[in-house]
Amino acid sequence: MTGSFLVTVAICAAMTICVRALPIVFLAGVRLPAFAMASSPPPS
Amino acid sequence: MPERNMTRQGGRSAFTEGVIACGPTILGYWSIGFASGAIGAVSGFSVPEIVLLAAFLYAGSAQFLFYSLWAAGAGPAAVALAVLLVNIRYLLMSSYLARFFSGSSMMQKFASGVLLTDETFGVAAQHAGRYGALPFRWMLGLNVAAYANWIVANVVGAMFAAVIPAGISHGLGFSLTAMFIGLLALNYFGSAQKRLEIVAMVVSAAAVLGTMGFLDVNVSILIATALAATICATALQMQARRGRTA
Repeated sequence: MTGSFLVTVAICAAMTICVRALPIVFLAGVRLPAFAMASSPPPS
Repeated sequence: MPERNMTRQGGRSAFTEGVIACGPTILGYWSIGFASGAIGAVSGFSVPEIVLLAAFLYAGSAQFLFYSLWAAGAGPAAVALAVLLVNIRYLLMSSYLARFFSGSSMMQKFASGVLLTDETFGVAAQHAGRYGALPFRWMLGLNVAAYANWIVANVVGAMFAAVIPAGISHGLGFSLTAMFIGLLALNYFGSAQKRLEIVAMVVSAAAVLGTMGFLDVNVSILIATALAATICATALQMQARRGRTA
């Protein structure tokens, strides 16, 4: 297991975590326009 | 309603309910994880490397891409960019689910998002559509069950790569497509807006077919998702407006 392999895995993992988790972290509780919320009922 | 009681059925905890909800997708995780581990081993990766990738990338398509690019001698920047392109769809899934975590702590939001996959998104979106909520413990049960099965399937695939014919291990990759067809069918039959579901399917399929000749297939999928979502949201708005004026 080489250093460049570990660095590449770390970069890929960091990017994957960003696209997976950050929208939930930053958009939860944010009031989105009504248009964007049209497809589902509001959470109870 | 308190969160802990939201999904309790027959005395089971929300976590257990989440684990049970993962059940229909387990076979998919096993077949794709097995194929992923086997292809990694066939491509020359060691078992610890395959486990590392499965644990930190935790995405079948990205792992397949990583193996093929790395084995072909691609550099870290090229591999990272390709993985980002393949995984960028999670932005849409995570953004959709965000509204159901408004009452959660920062740690709960992060923990729920960091283990999001196409399959757990499908199951969570169904649950959210039915109950209007995604309790953290339920989501944790779903995510942990999926994650554990994925890692074990990768390890087993890597260890058995030497004894299974290459044709079979490569053919298992189709199970990903088969599983999504199943999730789509489940969504359709459980939907109260079947005509809208058909519109979404036809528009997105047409958009992918129309753009995949000159665009990367991952970009095509993003365009198809945005287009189908916009058309369906507009149709819903118009329907609601007509209902108010009638």
